[in-house]
Amino acid sequence: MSIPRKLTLITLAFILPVSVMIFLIVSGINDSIQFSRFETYGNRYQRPLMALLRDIPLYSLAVDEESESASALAQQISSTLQSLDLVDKEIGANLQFTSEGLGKRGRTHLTIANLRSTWERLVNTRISSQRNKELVSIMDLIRGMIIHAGDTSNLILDPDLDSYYLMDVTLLALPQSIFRRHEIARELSQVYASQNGTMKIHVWRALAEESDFKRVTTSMQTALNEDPNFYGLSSTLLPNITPSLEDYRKAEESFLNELAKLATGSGSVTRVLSSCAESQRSSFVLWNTTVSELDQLLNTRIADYKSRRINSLLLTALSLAVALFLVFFIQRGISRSLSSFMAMFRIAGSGDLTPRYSSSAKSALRDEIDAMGEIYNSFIGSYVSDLTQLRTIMDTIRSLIQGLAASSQETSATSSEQAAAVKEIVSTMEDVDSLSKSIEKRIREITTISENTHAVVRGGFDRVQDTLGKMNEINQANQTTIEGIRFLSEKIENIWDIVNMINGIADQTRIIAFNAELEASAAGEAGRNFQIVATEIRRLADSTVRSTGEIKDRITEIQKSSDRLILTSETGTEKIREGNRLTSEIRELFDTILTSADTSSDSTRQIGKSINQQVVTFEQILIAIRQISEGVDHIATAIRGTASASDDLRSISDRIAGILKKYTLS
Amino acid sequence: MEKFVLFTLGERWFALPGDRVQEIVLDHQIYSLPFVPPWVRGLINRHGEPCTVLDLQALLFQEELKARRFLVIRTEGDRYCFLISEVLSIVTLSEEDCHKLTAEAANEGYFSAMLTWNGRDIPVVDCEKISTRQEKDLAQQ
Repeated sequence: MSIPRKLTLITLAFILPVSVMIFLIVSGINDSIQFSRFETYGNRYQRPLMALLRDIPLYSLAVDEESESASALAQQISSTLQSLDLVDKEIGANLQFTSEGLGKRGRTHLTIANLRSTWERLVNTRISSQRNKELVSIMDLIRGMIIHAGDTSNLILDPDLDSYYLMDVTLLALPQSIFRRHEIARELSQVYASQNGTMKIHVWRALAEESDFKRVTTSMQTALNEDPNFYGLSSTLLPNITPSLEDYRKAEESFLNELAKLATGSGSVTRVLSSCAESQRSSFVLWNTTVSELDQLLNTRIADYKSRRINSLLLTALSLAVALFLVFFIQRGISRSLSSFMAMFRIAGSGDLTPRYSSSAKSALRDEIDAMGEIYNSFIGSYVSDLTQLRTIMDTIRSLIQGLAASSQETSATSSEQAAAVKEIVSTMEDVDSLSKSIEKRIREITTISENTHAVVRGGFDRVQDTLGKMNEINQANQTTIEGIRFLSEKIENIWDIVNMINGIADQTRIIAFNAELEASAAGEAGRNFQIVATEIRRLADSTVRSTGEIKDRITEIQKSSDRLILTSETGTEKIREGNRLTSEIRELFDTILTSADTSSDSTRQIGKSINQQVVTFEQILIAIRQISEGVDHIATAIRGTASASDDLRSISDRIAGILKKYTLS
Repeated sequence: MEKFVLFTLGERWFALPGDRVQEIVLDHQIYSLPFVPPWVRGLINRHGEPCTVLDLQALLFQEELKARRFLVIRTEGDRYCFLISEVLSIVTLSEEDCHKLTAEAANEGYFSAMLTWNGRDIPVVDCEKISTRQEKDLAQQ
């Protein structure tokens, strides 16, 4: 659906509620007109009834007085009944003077036929009392019909105060006063003659004054006062009502005075009846005048409603016309902009991207379509730029796809080689798996050997512990020996000191012998014997020195032997220590070996478990490698597919390049 | 026949005529003297009289002898002694075993003769030449 059509629909969518609203307004006005018209219907229906209410008692009185005017009144009443028939035929159904309407309210007797038959009985009756009875019946019928007309004609619901108070006078107050005066006129003679009659006369007077006279005058005055407030000031209301009202006021006041006089015993029944008749007459005059003015007010109201209805329709029509005019111009502007846009898009759709949108409107009058045009220009600018880049990129992609196709071919060949290599790996892995299982078996054997070794090492460790104990005992014995040798050496040192002392004494003796020999020699012949003794002493000293020298040599040998023994013992001690240390080291080594044997045993068990796991893992790896082999086959197939796809891509890129060539970018 | 006292300086053997040796003394303290040559080691107290200690090894071989034995020389003037290592023996030798040195050879050294004892040649120290040298050296100091 085009945007102008949518705008038309939018306009219609707005017109529709406006129309409904206007319809409702006019319907309300029509209802108000109908309401007021029904009120006029009520007045029309009351007119013949009020004429009958005026004439029938006069006819009855004329018949009682045997007046000549009776036949004229009877003829007038018949004419009025015919008029009532006509009115009933015209508006009776509207006022629900139907069997159904009357039945709803329990008023089925309020028919014109019943009224006419009652009238005929009244006319045909020669007996005064019987005639009075029929008169009361017919008066009740008329009063009931007046009330029914008032109820169904909306008069009782009149919305304006002036017409409402006029209705109050015509529909309620005046008929009530007329009936009350009729009752007074009918029963006055009997009441006045009766005992306590004056009391009832007082009551009649009070009711006539308070309930009738004051209500009529007050309502009329209120209607006159409210008149300017509704639909303008009536030009006839005040001039027409005032004389009738004054006439009514005088007649009613006279009637009330006569009643008061009669009640006090100063008046007469004749004067009361005369003033009552005058008051009845003035009441009918006032009723006619008031009904006419009420009709006038209702017609004025109806005319105002009609005028208001016409004005509403005219204003609505004018508003709609202006709205449609504005919609037309707006629609035309939008259509032109859209047409321009569509033409530009058609050109762009044909591949020519050079046209740009330009708005003829002033900047203050630019709308969203102009903004869209600017956005379109910006978009087309970026689009053209992108297409230019896309062409460049497509050229690059085409060259890349060519390279991709070549590399795909190479990759396909390589993947085939890889598939063969993987199959070789699978074969190798199967061999490795077999080898792993063989290793697993060997590891179980090694575990057994390791456990045996652990037991042997444990035995060796116990031997080393024993050896270490023995070595400690040897070391302690050797220490005792060394200490004994050192003690012996100290003793030899003491002997050495003694020998040195002997040697020193021998040396001194020898020197003394030398000196003695020298002295003997110096003494010549006298000292010859002394010389011999000195020589012998020297020889003895020399012998002592030699002996001590030998002792020294022996002691030296003993010391040397002792030193060698100590040295040997110390060497032995050192060897023992070395042996002890080596044994300790051996024990530590055995500890280490034992720990290693434990560790080795544990390790071999762990290795056994690991090998078991490895065997399982190898089997899984083998399965995985087989899957990889299958995967490599798939990859090779996929790469061949890639090569095919790269050919397709090349074809597609050629097509895209062909599409891009369609566009005119500059 | 003539007596000779055989003694050693270290490992070397020497001899002195027996009549020139007054006595052999052991273990006396040597009191050093100032302004004397190195081979004059000092004095020892011999019976209350000073006796000059001469170190033949220092004189002959310029090597100080470390010993505490002294050969006291019989003199009429100032008393002196030789510091020696050990007295070996007092021997009586014939003239055949005592070879006098020639004047030229004697003048060149401090020995007067050369003994032959048990197959060993032992020089005989000339006390006069030693004394002369001592006087000369002390005079130079």
